[in-house]
Parts: sequence; C-alpha cells; structure tokens
Amino acid sequence: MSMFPSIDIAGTGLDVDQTWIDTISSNVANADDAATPGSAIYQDQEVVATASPSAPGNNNGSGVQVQSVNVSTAPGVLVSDPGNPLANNAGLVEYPNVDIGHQMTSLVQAQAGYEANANVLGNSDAAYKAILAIKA
Amino acid sequence: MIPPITPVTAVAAASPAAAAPGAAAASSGTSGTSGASFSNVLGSALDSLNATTSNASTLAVEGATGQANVADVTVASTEAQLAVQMATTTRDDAVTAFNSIMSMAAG
Repeated sequence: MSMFPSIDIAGTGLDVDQTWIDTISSNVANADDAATPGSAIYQDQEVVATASPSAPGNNNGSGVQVQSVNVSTAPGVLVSDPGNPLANNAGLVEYPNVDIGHQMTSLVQAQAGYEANANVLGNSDAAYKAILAIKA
Repeated sequence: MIPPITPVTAVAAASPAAAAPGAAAASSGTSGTSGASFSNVLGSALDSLNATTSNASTLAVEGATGQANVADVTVASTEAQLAVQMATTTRDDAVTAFNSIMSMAAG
C-alpha cells in the first residue's frame, strides 16, 4: 500500500467497474450473434467482484477485485427462421441468451459506480492536497 | 527511466558520524524508544517518491501506447503528483528549519 491508500482503493474500484463495463460491452456487441443450433454460441459474461484481502493488521480493507468473470451456461434462444443460412433442418437458429434490458441496467449501475470511484479519487486528492498545503 | 535516488537512510548508514548526533538527539528528544529519526522518515519518503514516480512514468508510456487503462494511469499520475508535492513541502519545511537555525545568534 502506498502513501495514499484511498487513491489506490478508488483505483481498484475503477478497475472493477471498467471490467464490468467491458463485459457489458462484449455482451451487447454479441447479443445478435447467430449460430446453427448445437454449435458454439456466445455466452453471457458476468463479473464477480469481491473485497481484496487486507494486509495483516490492517482492518481498513484494500479495495475490491474481480474474482472471476462468470460465463453463463444457459442455452441460447432458438428462433424459427428457415430462410437464415445458419438454420438447421428444423428451420431453427440459435441466438445468445443475452438480456439487453439486464445489460442496460447493469451498464447504468457500472457507470454510476465508476463515477463514484472517480469522485472518491478526486476528493482524496483534494484532501491530501489540503494536508500538504499546511505550512508550519 | 528515472535514475534511482540514493536513499538518505543509506547515506546516513554510510556516514554515521555525520548523521548520528542530530538523529540520535531527535529520536531521544521527541519519541523516546520508537526511534524513527528524521533521516529515516525522509529516506523512506524519498524511496516511496522514487517508486511512485517511476510507476507513473511507466504507466504513462503504457497508457500512451494503449497497454494500460485510463484509470490506472490516472491513479498513478495522481499519486505521483501528491508524492512530489509532499516531498517539496517537506523540503521547504526542512529548509525553513535550517534557515531558522542558521539565523540564530551565535553567542
């Protein structure tokens, strides 16, 4: 931990929110992928965030980290579209099981989280500058 | 990128005769057994400043070449700015203290 722990901690929050936004971006970008049923299809990704382990004797915490990016195992959505070149014999095409509504609400949450962490960073900066501005 | 600054702690250890009297007086006079002399504090602060600015400089290059994300570069540059500000503040105060001593009447 550096001399300015609150800035480091806000940075870990920014990192996690950035990863969250990245996965949402990937989910939305791949929401309209099409595949023949039975072949590989894009799977919804979701960030799992946990608290970073604290250093021994430090109860203040040391931020947040991306525990893992869970890849959904839910089957894709089968849509009847016999004209599609990817359709199987039954005329079905598989689309990823990505819920755009859920992605958009998650994006709002991630954006708010990112802004909050950026504000913490800025206010910590101002606080440290205040203590450094004190002259004897 | 930035040549390492020789820690003041190492300087103090290399020439104990020069640094020991003042340091010993400071530690025994202020904090008793804790033993954190001014040169130790200043040395560790300078080490930290060196590491912080090196890290910021590395991340600035990585950010410019697209290898680091914006948040990491922002955090590193903010910490480097604060560390340098802290070092200059400490330097200013040390110089002020030195000047105060030098302007004392000799008699």
